[in-house]
Amino acid sequence: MKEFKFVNAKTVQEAVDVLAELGDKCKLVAGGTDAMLMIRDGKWNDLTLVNIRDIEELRGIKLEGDTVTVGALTRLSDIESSDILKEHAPCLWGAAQFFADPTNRHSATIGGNVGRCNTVGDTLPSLLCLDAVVTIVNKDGEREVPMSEMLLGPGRTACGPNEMIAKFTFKSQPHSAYMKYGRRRSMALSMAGSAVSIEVDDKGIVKWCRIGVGNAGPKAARAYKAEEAMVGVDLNSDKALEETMYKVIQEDISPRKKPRLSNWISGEYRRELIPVLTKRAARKAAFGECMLCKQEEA
Amino acid sequence: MSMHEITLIVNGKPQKLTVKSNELLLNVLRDKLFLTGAKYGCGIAECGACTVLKGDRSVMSCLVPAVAADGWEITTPEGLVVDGELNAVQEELVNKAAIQCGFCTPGMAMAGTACVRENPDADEDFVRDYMRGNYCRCTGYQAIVQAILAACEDAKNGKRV
Ligand SMILES: Cc1cc2nc3c(=O)[nH]c(=O)nc-3n(C[C@H](O)[C@H](O)[C@H](O)COP(=O)(O)OP(=O)(O)OC[C@H]3O[C@@H](n4cnc5c(N)ncnc54)[C@H](O)[C@@H]3O)c2cc1C
Ligand code: FES
Ligand code: FES
Repeated sequence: MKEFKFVNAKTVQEAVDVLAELGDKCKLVAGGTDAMLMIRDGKWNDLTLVNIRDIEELRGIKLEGDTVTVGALTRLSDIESSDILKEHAPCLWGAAQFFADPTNRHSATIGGNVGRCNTVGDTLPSLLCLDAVVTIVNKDGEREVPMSEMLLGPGRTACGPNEMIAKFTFKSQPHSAYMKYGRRRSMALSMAGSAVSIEVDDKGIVKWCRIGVGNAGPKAARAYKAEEAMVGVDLNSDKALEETMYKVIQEDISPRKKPRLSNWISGEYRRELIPVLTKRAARKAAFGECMLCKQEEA
Repeated sequence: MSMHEITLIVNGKPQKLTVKSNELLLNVLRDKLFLTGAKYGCGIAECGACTVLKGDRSVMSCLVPAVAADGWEITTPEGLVVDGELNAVQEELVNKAAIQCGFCTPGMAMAGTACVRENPDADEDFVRDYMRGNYCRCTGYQAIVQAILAACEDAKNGKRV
């Protein structure tokens, strides 16, 4: 194994003290499922790892009124088995079901998924569509960053080198869902993913929605144009969706006609895939399940 | 590099160790404690051969620096054996002939044990999904899945898992 120094931080205070002292000479490690690979691959060199894995105060899922809080060190397996999230943020709950495998889910954390800021990160589209607020801590206190401003680019977030993500907060959104397309069911990173939080009237006309897409570009992002285009559209109608959301979500993804091949998927394929996943996620979010997907899966 | 004093509770026994910051839990278990049940397969959390239990939860020990495991209660495949008796999952792996070359078997026993402990009412879908991080290049999985389902029944009949 490549060399590194190591500090075991047992409390948030200990962790932020080390971060303040070492800054970009150190890196946080939570579940280690990305971090250890960065070291293996020689992408992180001569660093001190600051281990936060066992800081219990950053773990847990809480519901207060209609506000849900998820600690940064909450593991994907905790998310997967959370009744609170199943009811109040089914998109995030669903993302955990699609994530790696149960053993890796016992280690991988949501804070690490955001900290890594990989465009394929499975929790990112859901956190975006939930409009989550990220609480970041440093030696001097806390600050809040909306998820829409958190992800800056591949591997880059608004969380500075002397800071740490503490928790995610969002409003209960029972009508939300995530759809992931991977090469196979098991142990496959997303080829594309879409998460939708939505409200429809009793006829299925969209009142508002928020959409987060993954692996559509260099970073997971909101699809703002598609969100606007969906308002007033009949969610039951394929034709209506094709004429509105399908057209503009391409612009959200990439203005280029021929986007680059990345993450095992050609730009052309991705452009076809994302609108379909978004339609399915929207229907699943609004109606509980997507009847059409059921047929297509069968 | 830095050196660290740690205590691991391995198969019920506290072990005081001095480890280098970059030593992996898997290598410490194998090379310092001579518990060679857990295997080094891929080293990147893809194959499951290195699976051990932290409490009742399966983790892949190839991605854990040993120093990060300070204070953990760890069970290795050896620890599933009590007084010379295999646990239900190990025994059913033998009964169902779910072992060919055997390289994946310790990892299967660990993840299978985590699976049965978490949900003794598991059906085939649950087991297949639970075990999806553990690769076997020989058996074709069928017998392994049958063994874990049988261990679920054993567990409900009071056998130790
Ligand atoms: C076999 C395998 C399969 C995988 N499958 C998937 C998959 O299906 N979907 C998916 O999305 N990902 C997958 N991953 C990637 C990885 O598991 C996830 O990104 C995971 O969420 C990372 O969490 P962690 O706790 O292990 O993070 P770590 O590896 O500990 O850290 C990841 C990054 O985040 C930073 N970080 C960690 N915690 C914080 C914090 N609190 N504040 C600020 N920065 C922080 C670290 O410094 C590091 O840069 C897979 C990885 C492996 C090895
Ligand atoms: S050696 Fe750890 S998963 Fe393969
Ligand atoms: S028995 Fe050979 S890899 Fe499973």
